[in-house]
Amino acid sequence: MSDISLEINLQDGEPLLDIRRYRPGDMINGTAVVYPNKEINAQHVYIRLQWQTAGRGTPFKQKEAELDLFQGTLMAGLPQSYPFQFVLPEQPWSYEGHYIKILWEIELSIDLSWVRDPQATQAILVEPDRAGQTDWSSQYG
Amino acid sequence: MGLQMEKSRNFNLRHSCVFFFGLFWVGFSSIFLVVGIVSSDWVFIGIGSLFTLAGLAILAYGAMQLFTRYLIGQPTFTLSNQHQLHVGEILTVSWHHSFPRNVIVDALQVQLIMREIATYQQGTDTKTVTHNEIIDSYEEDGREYNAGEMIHGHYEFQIPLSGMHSFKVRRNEIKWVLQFKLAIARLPDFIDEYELTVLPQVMTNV
Repeated sequence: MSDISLEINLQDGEPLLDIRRYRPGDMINGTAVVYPNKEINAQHVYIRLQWQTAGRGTPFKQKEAELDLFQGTLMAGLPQSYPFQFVLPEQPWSYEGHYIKILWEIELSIDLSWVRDPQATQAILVEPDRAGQTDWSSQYG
Repeated sequence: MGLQMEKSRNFNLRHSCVFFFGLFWVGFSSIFLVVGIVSSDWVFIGIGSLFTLAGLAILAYGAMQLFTRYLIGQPTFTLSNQHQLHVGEILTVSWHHSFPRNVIVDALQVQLIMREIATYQQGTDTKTVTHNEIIDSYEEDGREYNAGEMIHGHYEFQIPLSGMHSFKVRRNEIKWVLQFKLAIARLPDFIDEYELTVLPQVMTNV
């Protein structure tokens, strides 16, 4: 059993299978939940909005926003919940092509000393409304 | 009202580069050939000859490309919009050209292309792969044109509503290109490319 469990819960957006779709410029509201199984001294609890390229090209990662949710001691057996809010930029849109993909995600990370930082990510879809096309699951499902 | 199109700069350079690269290759490899001949070293003569022949082939291809451009000249393109396009937008392309010399054109093609360019590292090599997604294409049969003969065309293309905006970060690029191609008998194709900028905005009244 790991020392800590992390969870990202998102509100708003349009649910598509196991992912949520937002429009460029939309506001993302969510909650980061941390379940410590032992006492942990967290230097920072970060939540980040970021995107990266995937596919054949060398991956490129861009952090669009970062919030420092908490600094201090997380008590064993005491779940902590932190609300957060991001505003999506106008670009880039999510994309899945032949050689290039653009993937958006929200990352929850606990900054710890001398050990690997535990992380959790939640993928999101950033897609504008396009007249005559509403079934996004057929394209990305 | 249309705007005269700006040609893709990289594409323009490529034509002269092949020729000058071939010239450099021939010059460099012929040193080995000359050294081999002077010293009667058959290994140098053999390797030098192979490299010089390869260089001459590159040089000949580069020269043929330049000759094609000399034969055709430079067509004039006008586009309703080149750098402020929206996803879903319809763009009109007009072109006209007066051939400076007699030429036999096998076919004419105008294509709207969405191109993915991905660069990656493999060992110590840097490799680039390109994928062209042909969105729409117009083709016309060619014929023999006389010097001074005027041709023109007018086409409509649409950036598809499901399309992606232009995108460029380190080693990953999505670009929109309008490609104009003339297939010339017994010569390399005449190809001009014009880069379009598609903004991350959807046309609302399509």
